[in-house]
Amino acid sequence: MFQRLRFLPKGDPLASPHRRVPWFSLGVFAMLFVCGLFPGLVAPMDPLKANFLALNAPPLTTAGGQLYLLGSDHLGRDVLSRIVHGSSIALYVSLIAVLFSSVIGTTLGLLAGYYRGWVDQLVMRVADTWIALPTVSFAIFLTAMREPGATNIIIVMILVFWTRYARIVRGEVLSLRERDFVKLAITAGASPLRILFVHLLPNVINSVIVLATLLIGNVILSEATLSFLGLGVPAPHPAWGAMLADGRNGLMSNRWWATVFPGLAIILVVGASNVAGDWLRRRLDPNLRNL
Amino acid sequence: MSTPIPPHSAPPVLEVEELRTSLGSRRGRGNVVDGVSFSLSAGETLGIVGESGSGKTMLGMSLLRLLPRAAQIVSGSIRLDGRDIVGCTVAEMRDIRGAEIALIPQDPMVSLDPLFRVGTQIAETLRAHKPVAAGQAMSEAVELLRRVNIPDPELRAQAYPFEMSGGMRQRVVGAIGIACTPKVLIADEPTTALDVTVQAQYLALLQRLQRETGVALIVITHDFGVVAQICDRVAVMYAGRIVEQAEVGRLFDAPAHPYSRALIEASAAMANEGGGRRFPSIPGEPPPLFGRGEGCAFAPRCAFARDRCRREAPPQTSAGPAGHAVRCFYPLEGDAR
Amino acid sequence: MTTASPTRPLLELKGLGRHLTLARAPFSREATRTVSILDNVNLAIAENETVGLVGESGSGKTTTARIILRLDSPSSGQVLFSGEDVGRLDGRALKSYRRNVQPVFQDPYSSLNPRLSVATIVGEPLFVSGEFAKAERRARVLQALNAVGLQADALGRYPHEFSGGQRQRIAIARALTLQPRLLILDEPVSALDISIRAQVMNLLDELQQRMRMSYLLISHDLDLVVRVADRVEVMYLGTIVESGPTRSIAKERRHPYTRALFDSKLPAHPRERRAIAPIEGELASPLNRPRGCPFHPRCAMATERCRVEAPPLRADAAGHATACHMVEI
Repeated sequence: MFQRLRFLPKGDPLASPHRRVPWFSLGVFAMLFVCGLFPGLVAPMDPLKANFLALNAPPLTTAGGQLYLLGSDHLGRDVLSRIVHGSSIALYVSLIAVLFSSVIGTTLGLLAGYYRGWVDQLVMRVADTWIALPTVSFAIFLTAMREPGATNIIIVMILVFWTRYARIVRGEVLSLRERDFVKLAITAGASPLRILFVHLLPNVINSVIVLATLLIGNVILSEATLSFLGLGVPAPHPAWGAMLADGRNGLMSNRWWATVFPGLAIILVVGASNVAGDWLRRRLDPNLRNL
Repeated sequence: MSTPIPPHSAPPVLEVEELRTSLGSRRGRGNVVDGVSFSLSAGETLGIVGESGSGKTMLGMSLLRLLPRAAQIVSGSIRLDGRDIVGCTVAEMRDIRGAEIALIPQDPMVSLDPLFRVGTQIAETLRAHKPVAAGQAMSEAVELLRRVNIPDPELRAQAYPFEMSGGMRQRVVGAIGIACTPKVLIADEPTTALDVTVQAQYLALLQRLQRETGVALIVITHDFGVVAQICDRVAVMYAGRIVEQAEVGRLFDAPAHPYSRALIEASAAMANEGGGRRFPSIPGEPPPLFGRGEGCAFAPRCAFARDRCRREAPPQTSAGPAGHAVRCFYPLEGDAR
Repeated sequence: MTTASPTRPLLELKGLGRHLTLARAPFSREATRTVSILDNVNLAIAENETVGLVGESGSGKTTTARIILRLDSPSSGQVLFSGEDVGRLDGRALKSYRRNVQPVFQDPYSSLNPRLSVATIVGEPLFVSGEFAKAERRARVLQALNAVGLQADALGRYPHEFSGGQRQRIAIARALTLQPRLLILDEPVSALDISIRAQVMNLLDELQQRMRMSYLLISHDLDLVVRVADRVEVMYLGTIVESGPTRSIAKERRHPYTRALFDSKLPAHPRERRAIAPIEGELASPLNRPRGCPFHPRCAMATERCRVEAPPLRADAAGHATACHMVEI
């Protein structure tokens, strides 16, 4: 009796990995925000300024009195500065796209889940259609119609990602509307608007926040893909995807830095978004496993 | 009409001593089962009664070693047929569970797999513990269904859970419980998922199965009606402790703990058609799990509490005849009514 | 509690029926398969009266409550409140009906929106009605909370900070704010612990005396209903099988189902234990509702007639009605 039992895990079982705060990922996020909001302060050089004395300089080269920490590209532009300024584009695109798609998707999801019937049918069928939409072809189409630029990417992203919100919010509302507090609101004479935005919205907002965190990485990745294909922000502006495309040729002749570093930036941010989103999800609600 | 109480001179099949189970959460850590001791002989039925948060379900889960992640047994022993299962490994427990100590869970809707036929689910339990062929297990499953009064058992064995009524599903879960003739069977809230008119039927079935197999039965319930109908002995739980333990007639006639008495009076009043307008009630609320102070946990709600009750926790003492134990400094005497 | 006044009842259900369509013929609105959830339910609640509605799962008691609360609409029949057809109310009249008829549901966890403070939850009916200034709302919310035994410090707190019994008090306080004339109590204490049940029932009784409300008490718990109701309605598979003054029902138990319900009560003392189950058979669901008398497959007295012909609900002079071929009036 009273002996410590051997099957007990050491320490507090509640301190299991998923409850640990992902400091590294949050740090990456913080860096993204600092670089993205104040690129001029962080970047050591002008990202657009070519330097013909330092073409394709490898990392840690000093040329013209300036240190190229991550090397320079085929026009002699500082890779680090371009990555920093690229984060600005990534942040701008992802925040606006995520903001609009969450507002649109959440509203439509609320309506579909609460009213069901034809509203539900309409919203969900449109969502199904958008999911079937070939993103890249649509982006090419938009670029052909309009000037190339970040706005195109944002429009494409909103069109693609609102469906995620709509589906998840609708699913939660379907179960929430059966809860007694909704019936009580009806019997108190509350209007549908009040039920949607006072009773239902606050109960789905956690999932919306979690999904937004997860989607930031997704949007950045998609933005990189489209920029890589030349459908995004036009040169010479430093989008990460475009940098990958630019540096591609250098890879053959061992000039890896112009590709690897922007690629690393993408990997870090996307990974951080997934880890942080996952952590938030478990923190805010352990029951949300189906995002 | 009363059922004879079986003799309990036989050595106990289950002996629980000073069992402590703690549960942690963001708000802290507390003992959900706090120094519980009791023993149980073959063929005997023990009722564990308490309200929500009393720790009765956690006690049941501790006995089965089926605790949720955040909870763990911190001390004490559970001797099943002489063997302390607190120290058993997960693999050993898998063999013991179902074969020697089994559970009839509260909600048959959740505990049956909707994708498999009920016959298959019973046969699976059998094959997990006995080296029998599939065909043999299936015919044993049909036999078990017959024993729990399922009409047309051959046909019903091919049915899916959703094709059955709530009462039938409850009996299927009962059949799974007795499949491997365990020594101890734990029925968690056996009647709460059932409609009034089928509750009595189901309790009668449990009693018949016990008579036939000699299993020791633990009934976890909040309903004194269930206790009165099928239990030989009762343990009343409050805030993780057994505050009173007695033979069932004795507990109803002369409850010694103020909590037991108040609870019995409250539930008797609920069941009494003619009574006055007001229901006797217990003031206040059960204590929270975290931050239970020193002293008797019931003291803040107790009409008889004195200073000492608030300072120190009462130990278990005898209250009259053998087998009647109470945790109270000032046990009550005389009849409940 | 008090005897019914001879005048017009406060709430009246007339020939209420509700069926669900399971399947439709292709390209048509015609139903090919329906189930009957409620069938010709008649019921009346007088001023300051408590009517108990007893039944097991599938009896239609909750559907009845939903229809009264206008959360569902009947397929046939009508609900009359002070003589007015509730199904036709809209605008102002509906608003006034809603403030007069308030529900308390079974599950205190599902009844309170976890994201709203107690002040918002309890004050919602007042806020929605749009007739009260902020100070007045606050005063009334406080008054309602005090009436159920809660203090002002509860206002800023959230549902998770309260126990089940306290939550049910909050739900009751909310129902009281508009001073309704009728409370629909749908299993108000079955989710609560025994010691708390008594507290809540006593509270409801006090409030009824003080505010002169009528109660429709819906429960599966016969003991509880018999203890507090003036009249009892026993439902089985969507129909009322017995109805009358509580005392008369408790004493005579005319319908075999009512008797089975009484006999199924678990004993209050081990000395009263029973060896055999009082009633056999499975509870039928509305999906496979038997023909004739819905209770006949489980009834020991059933005859050929019960299998083909549904018995009508016939009342004696004292207002005690039974739907059974075997009962002489």
